[in-house]
Amino acid sequence: MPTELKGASQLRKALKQFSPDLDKETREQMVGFLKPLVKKARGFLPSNSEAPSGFVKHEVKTAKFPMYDAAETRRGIGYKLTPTKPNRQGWVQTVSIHNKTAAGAIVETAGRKSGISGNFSPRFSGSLAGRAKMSGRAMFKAYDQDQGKAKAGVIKALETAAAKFNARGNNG
Amino acid sequence: MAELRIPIIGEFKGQKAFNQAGKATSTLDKSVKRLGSTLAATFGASQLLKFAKNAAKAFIDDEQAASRLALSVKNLGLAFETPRIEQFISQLSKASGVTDNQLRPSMQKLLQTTGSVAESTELLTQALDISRGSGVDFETVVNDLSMAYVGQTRGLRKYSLGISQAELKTMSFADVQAKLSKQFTGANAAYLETYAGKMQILSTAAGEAQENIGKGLVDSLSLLAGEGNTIQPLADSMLEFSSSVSDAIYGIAVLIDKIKQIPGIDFLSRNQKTILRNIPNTGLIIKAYEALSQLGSQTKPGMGGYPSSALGPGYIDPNDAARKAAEAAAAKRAKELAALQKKTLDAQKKQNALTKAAKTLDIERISITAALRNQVSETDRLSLNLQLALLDKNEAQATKLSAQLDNAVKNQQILNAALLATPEAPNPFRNWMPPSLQSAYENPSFYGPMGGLGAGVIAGVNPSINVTVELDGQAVGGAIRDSQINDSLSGSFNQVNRGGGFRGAVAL
Repeated sequence: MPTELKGASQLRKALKQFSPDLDKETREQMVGFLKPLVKKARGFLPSNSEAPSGFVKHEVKTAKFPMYDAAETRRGIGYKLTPTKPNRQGWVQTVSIHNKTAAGAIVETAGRKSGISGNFSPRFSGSLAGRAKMSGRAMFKAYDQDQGKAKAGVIKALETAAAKFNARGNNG
Repeated sequence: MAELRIPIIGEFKGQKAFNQAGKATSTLDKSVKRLGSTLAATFGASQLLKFAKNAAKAFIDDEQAASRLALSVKNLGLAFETPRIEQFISQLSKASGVTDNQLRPSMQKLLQTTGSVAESTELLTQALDISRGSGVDFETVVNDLSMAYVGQTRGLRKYSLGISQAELKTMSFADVQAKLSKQFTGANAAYLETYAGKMQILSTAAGEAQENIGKGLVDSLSLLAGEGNTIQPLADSMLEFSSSVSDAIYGIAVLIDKIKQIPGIDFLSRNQKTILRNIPNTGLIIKAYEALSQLGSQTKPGMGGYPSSALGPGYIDPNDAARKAAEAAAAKRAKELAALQKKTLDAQKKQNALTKAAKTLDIERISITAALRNQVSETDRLSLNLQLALLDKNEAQATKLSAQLDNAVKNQQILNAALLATPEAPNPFRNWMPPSLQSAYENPSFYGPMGGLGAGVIAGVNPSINVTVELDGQAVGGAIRDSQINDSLSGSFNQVNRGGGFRGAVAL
């Protein structure tokens, strides 16, 4: 369950439209909290030599199973400051971090359900961190280790922006 | 599943969206219900009214066209032919699939041109074939035929008859007609065999049916409006009629809806016509409607035209004499037209001959022709030919030659520019080094075999040479000049011998 911050989307829209400078400042503050998280998550990804050799990107005629490329997977981890489309339950993610690539998702979640067993999952360095659907090796691990500091920082930044915006409106 | 995402901050928007969806659905539901009830009331009535209006309009247009044609025929003194023409148009429309609205103006035009009903009907039928065969629209074909009838054959070029414009001008209309007939006869019949042709016949028949219904409607409304009726009461009556029809249809719909709600009504609904007819009041109304329909069909005035008996075999038409007179007048006019056309053509021929004769005395032409016989450059030749074409007023040739001349001039300019841009030719001997002439003293070959000047020593380059001639051991100075020395080298001793008169002179 994400932390709900009502009116965050409207605030971002209003900032963008009426106070671009405040919007920029808020964005920078949020980035300041999210970027270290993303960097940390990228750092948990294995290099090509550490990943199982068959999983690492190589020349094959047909490849249905995603192949791992450390650089590409690192690029796939990032943050998003604009709202997503509502999901089927009606939730919008105003600020989020993501692991976009298929290979990245495999590295992240392999063994989450079946445990660290067999020939594939144990070959990934690092254990799963977090709980249930919020467990993983890279992004989830970084988020788990962050202990909610980034989230608190983002909320604080938005609350500050809202206060400043309202103050400007009242004064103006 | 490919993308994993951790929401840092989220927002629940679902409730609003659901609310909006719910609201929209309920609004839609209400609107649909309202629309359903409105449609039931208006659809039938509005469609009926629309059809009635279209039908009446079609009839009115048709009547107007018929009226114009009738007036035109009357003005031509052929009023008695109106029913025959109408009948012909009606039959042709049915047979060809071309609407009478198209045929009437065409017939009018042909009648005005030819003055003969027989000729016009023949041309109209032929125009149909030509139109089908050539793909040119019917009105254009009729127009072209009318123009050709009076000698203007320019429009016939588009039918690709395989004859030149000059030939067309010299041909009589009968010849042109024969040519067209040969090329396009049967095209309409062939077209009507196709699916499109059959569809057109059906479409035309539907249009005619609509006109008939329109006539019935207008007649009925006129009857309802009473004597001395104007447009307004008619319009009011029509609106009133449509409203009452609308109300009646809605009432029937409501009634059927209510009846359907009664259990076990299926049997009744399947046999409602029979049952309704047998219900005392309703049945009476239906029976009355059927009776009225029968009465209307019996008493409604016909569409006009000749009674069929009038066209039967053995019938003597009282207008035969007038018809013959009209046809004779038209034939006479056609002859006059042909004569006039011939006269014009003859005059044109004479003019052409005169122009040709004048060309023989054309000084300018003579000089150009003479110039062309001489040796001239390509540009000049083109220029002369262009002048000739301009004199002949041969536009095509002049345009062609003008383009060629332009090209030639441009090429000449390009050549000139290229020549000017050509760099100066280098001295072919620029790298040749003249051999250094050695001093006569250093070069032993400079001297002759006997110590004198060698052969081939170039005059002017020889250095000063001291020659000493000794005679009996004593030097003789100034006795021998250079020329003598040279002469002596070619073996001419006499100069030496003569010079001093010395005895025992020796050759050097």
